[in-house]
Amino acid sequence: MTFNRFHLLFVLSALIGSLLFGCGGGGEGAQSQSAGAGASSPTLAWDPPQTYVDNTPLDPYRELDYYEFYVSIDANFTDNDVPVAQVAAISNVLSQDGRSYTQTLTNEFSLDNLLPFTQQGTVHYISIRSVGVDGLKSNFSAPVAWSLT
Amino acid sequence: MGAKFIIRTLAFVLCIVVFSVAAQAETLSWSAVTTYTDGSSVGSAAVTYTAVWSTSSNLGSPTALASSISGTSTAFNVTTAGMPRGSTVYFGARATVGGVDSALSTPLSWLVPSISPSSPANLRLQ
Repeated sequence: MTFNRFHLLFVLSALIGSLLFGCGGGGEGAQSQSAGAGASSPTLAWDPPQTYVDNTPLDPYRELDYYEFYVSIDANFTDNDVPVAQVAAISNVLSQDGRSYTQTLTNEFSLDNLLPFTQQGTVHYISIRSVGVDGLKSNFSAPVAWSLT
Repeated sequence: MGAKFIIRTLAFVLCIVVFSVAAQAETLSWSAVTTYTDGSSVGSAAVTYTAVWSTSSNLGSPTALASSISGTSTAFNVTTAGMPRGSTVYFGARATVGGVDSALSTPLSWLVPSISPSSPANLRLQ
């Protein structure tokens, strides 16, 4: 059984239209992967960062706060894009004896949570950003394509 | 050892130097102690230094950065030292001669630099 402090922050549905259909601009751009969606949505996975942008070491257990999730029909994400969800960087997993919690790095996320921000028959791009405990955000990760058929 | 007393509090000339290299070490340095509190020279006596940091401006609950070193600087890494990025920390140092400690220096405040984390890697669907 898993208790975690995940919490999704779904922004106003009014943002969906502009988010899904209005993104553009620069960003890292490179599409890294695509996958089809069946009856059940795939899981988004990633490797948590271990460094800061200047290559100094980062302790993700202490220095990461959460991740932001971005969805768009445009693979180029910019600072004008608005996150549709966020999840804590650390989750507390209940031990088998039920007496204690173990901190675990969050490294996956069910895309079912993002379905409200998608449209069937459309390829969407997903990117995430890590946010440090001091509030500074990383660049966008290289996006992945998510084909909703 | 004669009637030498407490070592003179460091005339602190602390400076933080951030090296823009991959290793990204910061360096805390201070001026050498040369005299006792009575003004007499330390002479050739061995002087060692202990450097500490704290989130408290009065250096309460200090954490050691370096202990009993003979040099007048010490390198540290913000993450390894556990310093809170984006917050102010305070440094202090004391000298020791012949087993006698000086008072801690006047605290030096330093804003621990905030840096963006790297982006998550290997984003994938599975």
